[in-house]
Amino acid sequence: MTFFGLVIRNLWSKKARSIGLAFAVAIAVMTVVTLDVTSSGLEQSAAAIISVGKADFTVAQKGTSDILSSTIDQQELNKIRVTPGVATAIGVLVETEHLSADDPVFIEIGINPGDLRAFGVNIVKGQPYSATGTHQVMVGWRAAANLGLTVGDTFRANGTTNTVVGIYSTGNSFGDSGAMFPLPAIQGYNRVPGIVTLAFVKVTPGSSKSSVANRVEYDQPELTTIRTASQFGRADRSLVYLQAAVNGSTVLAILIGAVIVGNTILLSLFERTREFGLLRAIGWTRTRTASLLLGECLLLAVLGGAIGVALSFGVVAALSQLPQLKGVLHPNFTAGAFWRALFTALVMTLIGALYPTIRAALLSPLKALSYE
Amino acid sequence: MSEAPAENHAVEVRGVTRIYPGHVHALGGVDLTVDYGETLAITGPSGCGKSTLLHLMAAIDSPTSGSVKMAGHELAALDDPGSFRRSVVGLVFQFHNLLPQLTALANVELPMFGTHVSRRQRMERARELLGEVDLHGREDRLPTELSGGERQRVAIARALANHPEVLLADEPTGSLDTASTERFLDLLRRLGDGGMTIVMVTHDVEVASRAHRIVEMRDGSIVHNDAEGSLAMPDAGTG
Repeated sequence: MTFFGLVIRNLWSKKARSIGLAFAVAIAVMTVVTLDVTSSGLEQSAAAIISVGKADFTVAQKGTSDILSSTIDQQELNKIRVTPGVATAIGVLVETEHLSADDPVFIEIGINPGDLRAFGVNIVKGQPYSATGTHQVMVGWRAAANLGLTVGDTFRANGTTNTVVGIYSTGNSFGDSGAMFPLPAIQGYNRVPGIVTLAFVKVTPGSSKSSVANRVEYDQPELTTIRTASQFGRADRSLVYLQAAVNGSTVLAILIGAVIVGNTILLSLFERTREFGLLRAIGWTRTRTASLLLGECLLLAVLGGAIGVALSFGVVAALSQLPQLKGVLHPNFTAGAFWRALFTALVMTLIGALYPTIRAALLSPLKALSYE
Repeated sequence: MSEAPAENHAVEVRGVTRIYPGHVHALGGVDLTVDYGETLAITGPSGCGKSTLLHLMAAIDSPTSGSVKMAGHELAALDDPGSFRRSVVGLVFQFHNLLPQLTALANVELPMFGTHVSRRQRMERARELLGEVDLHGREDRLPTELSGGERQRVAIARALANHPEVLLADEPTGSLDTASTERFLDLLRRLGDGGMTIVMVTHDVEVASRAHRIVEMRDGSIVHNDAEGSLAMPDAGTG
């Protein structure tokens, strides 16, 4: 028999206790992974907007609660355009509309037709709308497929009936799941003339993206630049708050889990006092005795972590079907989420097992053998 | 078995006292020696201190004063009592204390963990020992699948796993029936014949009479220390 075999045998001999402990770990891990994957999915969904325009960086209003609340006026947009190193700055208005229960957050993008090519829009069917066209719309190919639309159909949005003049592709699922309107039209529908939500900037060849971005921020401190999803929080504070809530919940889950795990292991230690006393009496060192208990706990932590991850798949799938999150939450099971699960399981178990393990190591063989 | 160190005695107990909290005097100045290869029985009524004395020899308890030397090892000077218990003495308890979740073979392997003995060697040694205690073919049985006598023989095999120099047995036949006791004593005799030093604590006069020497204790002191057959013990084991 190997030491590992002994660990397995001990766990197997008390199946109910082992399963209970593994599930305590699993619930905590499931909570942490679900929160992590959900927040990460929401962040990715929100941040997807900045990658639609294939820009070197995106400019938004600094510190808004939601990036769609960002407002950049025409003067600010013009100032961006004349910043040294800026090749193009495309102003885009982004709005959302509740179309139906299946499309609770439909994306509508207002952009001038002259900027479509630079924005990375390819017309796959029909033609672009005209700059002054009224009640004209282009629909992303994913949205067209979902809504059953084709060129010539009518599409009701913003309280108006619009004719679908073209189907487009941006190569970005976020952009392809929405619709595009002439900028003045959507500004009019939403009563924000001259306002755009974001400016998509491309720098001149040879210019440093970070230098140009820093220059824009320096010239207009009320604006911020975003180059990566991780920088998204500069413009969208809600994601920062969400991440803070996730971190807080993780710590809380670890602590609660550690208390449950610690309590269970301690009770188990009381039951097995004579067993540990015997091991000490026949010559097991304190380290080896502690290793046995710790080994059992860590194996259960890994098992519980795996169960927790499996459970989180189900929970996240169920959450993504909630009306409030449908179409918005795209679960994002990254390697980081799995590492976080393993970290949570191990840290929680180590904290919980610390006192029982020390107690097991310090057991007096004589007292333990006479323990009833 | 390891070669005995060049001391005269396998066990040397000098002026040992053991006072537990609450001024309970378990031992009051005990002197005792046991020669290599000798089988010693310690008898006496319950509470006389015989098990306490055995625990001190096993280094699972410490004397309040005095010294205990086992196979040349001064126990008060031990850096690692665990290592001493693992390699110098073998312990047998009244209630076998086998781990119920482990097979007989695995129970015998337990003391060999952490001794740089390979897994294969551990298993071979455990099988060999179970064969020596007449449990060949019972290696994969759980303790619950063995009789009381068989369990106690597994406990002896476990105690012998690391080739101890002294076998310490605390009421080893206390939970056995007559037939199992007889078989157990026969096993002890074989070990004694093989040169093993054995110290056993027992209430049982018949068991004690199989030893080379019998020591009787009362109230924490040795009151008789005689060779086999010379000790009259009409009330031994009744207290």
